[in-house]
Amino acid sequence: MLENMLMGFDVIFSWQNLLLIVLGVSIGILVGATPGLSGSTGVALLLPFTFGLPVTSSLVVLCALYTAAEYGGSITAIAINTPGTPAAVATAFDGYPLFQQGKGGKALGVSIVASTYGGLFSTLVLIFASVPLANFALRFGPPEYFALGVFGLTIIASLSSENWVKGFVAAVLGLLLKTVGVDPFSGYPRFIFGKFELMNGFHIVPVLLGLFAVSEVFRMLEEEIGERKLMDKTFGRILPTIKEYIGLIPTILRSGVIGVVIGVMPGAGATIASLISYDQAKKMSKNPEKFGKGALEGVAASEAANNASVGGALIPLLALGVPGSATTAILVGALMMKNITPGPELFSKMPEVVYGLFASLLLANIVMLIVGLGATNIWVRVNRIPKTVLCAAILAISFVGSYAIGNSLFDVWVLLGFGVLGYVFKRYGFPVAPIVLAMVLGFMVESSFRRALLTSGGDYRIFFHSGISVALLIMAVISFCLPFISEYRRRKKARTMANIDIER
Amino acid sequence: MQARNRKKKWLGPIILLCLALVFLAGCGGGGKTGAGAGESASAPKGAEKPKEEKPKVNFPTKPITLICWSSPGSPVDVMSRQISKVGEKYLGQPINVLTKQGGGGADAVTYLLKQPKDGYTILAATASLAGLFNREGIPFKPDDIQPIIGVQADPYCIIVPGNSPFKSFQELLEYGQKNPGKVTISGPFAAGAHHVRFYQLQKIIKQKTGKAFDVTWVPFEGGSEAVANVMGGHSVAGHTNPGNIKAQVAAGKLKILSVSSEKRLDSFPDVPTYKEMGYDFVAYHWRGIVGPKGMPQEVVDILYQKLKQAIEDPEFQKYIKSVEMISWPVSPSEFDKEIREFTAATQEVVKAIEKK
Amino acid sequence: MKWGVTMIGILLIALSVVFYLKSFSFPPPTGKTLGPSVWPQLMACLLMVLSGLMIFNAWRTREEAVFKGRYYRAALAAVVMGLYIWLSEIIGYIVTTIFFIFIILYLAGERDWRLLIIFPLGFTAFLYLVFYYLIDVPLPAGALTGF
Repeated sequence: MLENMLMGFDVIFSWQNLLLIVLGVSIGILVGATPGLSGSTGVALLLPFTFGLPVTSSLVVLCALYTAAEYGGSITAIAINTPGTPAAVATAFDGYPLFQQGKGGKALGVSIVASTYGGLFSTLVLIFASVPLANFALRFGPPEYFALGVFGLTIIASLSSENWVKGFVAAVLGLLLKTVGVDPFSGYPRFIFGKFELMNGFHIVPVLLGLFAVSEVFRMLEEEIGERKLMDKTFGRILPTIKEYIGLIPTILRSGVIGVVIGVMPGAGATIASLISYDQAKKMSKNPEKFGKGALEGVAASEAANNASVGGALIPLLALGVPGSATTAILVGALMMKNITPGPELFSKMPEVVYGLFASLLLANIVMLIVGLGATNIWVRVNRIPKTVLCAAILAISFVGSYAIGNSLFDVWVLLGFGVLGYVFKRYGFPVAPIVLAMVLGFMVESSFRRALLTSGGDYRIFFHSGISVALLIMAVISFCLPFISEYRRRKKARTMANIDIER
Repeated sequence: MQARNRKKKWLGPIILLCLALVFLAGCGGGGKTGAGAGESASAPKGAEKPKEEKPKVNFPTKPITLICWSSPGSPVDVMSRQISKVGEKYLGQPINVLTKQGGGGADAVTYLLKQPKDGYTILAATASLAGLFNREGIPFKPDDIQPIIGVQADPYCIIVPGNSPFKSFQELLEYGQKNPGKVTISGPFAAGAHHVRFYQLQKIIKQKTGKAFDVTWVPFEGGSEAVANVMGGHSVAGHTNPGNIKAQVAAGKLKILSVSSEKRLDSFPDVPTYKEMGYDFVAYHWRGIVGPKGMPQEVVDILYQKLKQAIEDPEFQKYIKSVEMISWPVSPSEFDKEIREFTAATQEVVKAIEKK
Repeated sequence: MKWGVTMIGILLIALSVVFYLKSFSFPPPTGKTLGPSVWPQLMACLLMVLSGLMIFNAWRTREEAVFKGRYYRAALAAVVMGLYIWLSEIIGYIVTTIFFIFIILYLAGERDWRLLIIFPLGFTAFLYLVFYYLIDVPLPAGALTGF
């Protein structure tokens, strides 16, 4: 193992490869930060340019880009409430409030460190434990995916603790809208109302950009923002202190594990991982009420998890030959172009490729840390851009970002539709995060439920056959009830406090 | 002072970004320039329509756009990029791949039909085209499409988990015939190409043995999730293509029971074809190039001949072999026949689903 | 506030009724499992109940709007954006984007004429260069203008 790793570093240490890592990381951060372009589009765009490179070099640059893009998504999520990648949506929950409070430097500093940790941790897991984890992922059949999806959906309860009826309305609306499109079980297009552009349903990117970015611009336009406020030069530039970092260690460690484990599942991904890990951080926190209003733990949890899912998604690719995410599916294409079939054979047949990949992932994360920390000061300056300019720029970028998904104006109409929906919802006190959560998980819950029943021949007991699904379902019940219990306790405490006051 | 300072610091990273991207674009070379893709996209009126009267058509005189309806990295996309790489040698003009996802391919076809019918915009289509024709609300029919050339044919295969009790297709078939509905088969979308082909196989089996082979089709959104489901032993078998599972078979995680090709595959010499087992089932998941109906015949001929040469090029053949496929450079009329036949076969399955 | 929530609730109930009724035309289940209509019907019913509950709550308790501003500016921006999407196919991406950015800037209250002229031009050029030339996105070309 050690020998192989040394060989891997040996393969990587040439000035071309190091340059490629720096290039991959820089492009990755920019691609990730651009709304509408995520790791998978970045890798796909770069792919044709790697045809001329040797196999290891092309993997080096593509994987560096993949890792960095997951971090890059957090930058725009924090600075302008526009998740650059879908997986950065949970980063925006707390990152944007922090930025508005002038703590942008802290949020960005936490984001880059958590991302780097997530990336490094998942690479180590990939190196040392890929086979057992891949086999664990294989044990996930339809009932297990259903249970995982239900567990994920229970986050709604904690995302909408302020007004749970409105939160549930938002979530169920998301679930209902997610049923639009072709049903894989019958091939029948549901609720497309004659618009065949809806055949594949609503794409998540215009939905996200609409709900977060466009609706936020509409809200900003309501306010008086004509005159420019002169900001203090140091506003928002303070980085987190060592003490703050130390306080985040438990959250980051936990989120790394969640990210890898969920990233391994071919049917789940970075977005689900970061949402679940955000929720866990909130439940474990001593101050859950600070979440959504600017908790550093929220940023740390989301970012550590989505970067950890990168290594996780590579595990089934290398150990089983099954891609664990959309981006790794493109990596399969990249390998196929070089006449290499990814899979377990690769370890024995082409160890230089596999260990070269490991070495480059480790290096890419370190390069990402350096570039990211160095650039934090640039991103923080976003708050010195006049808000008028910001409004126009966000709308224009959301337009091209949505258009670039499928080169179709239909996605831009979806963007506007969800922008208006998000604005109206925010105005009347509905949380929009449950809509996103529902649209990320809804299809998984419905389809694995129906798939499980097909597999069992209509026998509902299949959901209780495996330990994994039972455990997940029990966790789901606990996770669902916990926010209500703590809310009840808080109220009771407040009431007794009030009583004491009266007695005095 | 302050303002100037701010501007300078802003400029730095932007220039760096431009440099990085320019360098990147320069590295790639290969004639894939943005301007080319744009030119054809931004000139929908198409000033230079090929003159149909003239016997000799000068084609192509500008870059060709090849639309791909699937995500980058998918088998069609890989094929399109290989065609674009090798085809340029023979056509003398760059072929730019344009991804147009959405509507499960419907967006790409509608876009194709809106472009000038001059052969400068063509589409990489797969057997899924038949599924599109059969969908409710789809405004186009096989008559709107001008097939140009087939490119590759991908055989189908039945897979079971590595530790499955079934050692051969016959064993699986016997078990399935004794226990109707008990055999679960993972695969892509219902009424998709894999499902339709399996349905055809079931019909042939019923004719031959007189007994129905009733199975439960378990659909997935993606082929790789279906394969993972079989590997984990969550379904009895799966219907996929050999190129997807080479590595897993080599590692002993999956067993391959049968292939739908004419002859046995070089990489799996021990796996029997349906033909040798006595079932007249030879079927391929085809992929090819189509254009809009109404293209000048000469342009169709030129594209067919030049792309045929490209497909027969050793470089392209090497790629086809590496993904376990068969080259399938059929003529426009043969391709047309295949599209129409498969569309009818798909219709039968769609009807069967709606009746149930 | 309560009128706003009531309106949203009524719209959502209408939406779920449409979805509920539409789902009856779906094909029956394939195999021993739920058909394509069951899950959407369940969700539609749930949305109806929750929306009703929400309206009830809105009239029972007092709530304040989260932000009270001049909503017509947001509405205007949405209309302008709709026009932008619609016209981008007719007039072309470049021209419409320049005007769109200008209008939004103005709507947001920007009155510095230098910025109002430079930013729309500069940002459009930037977006066009990056998306059109570097990453090959075929941005909408105007049917009238050709670019």
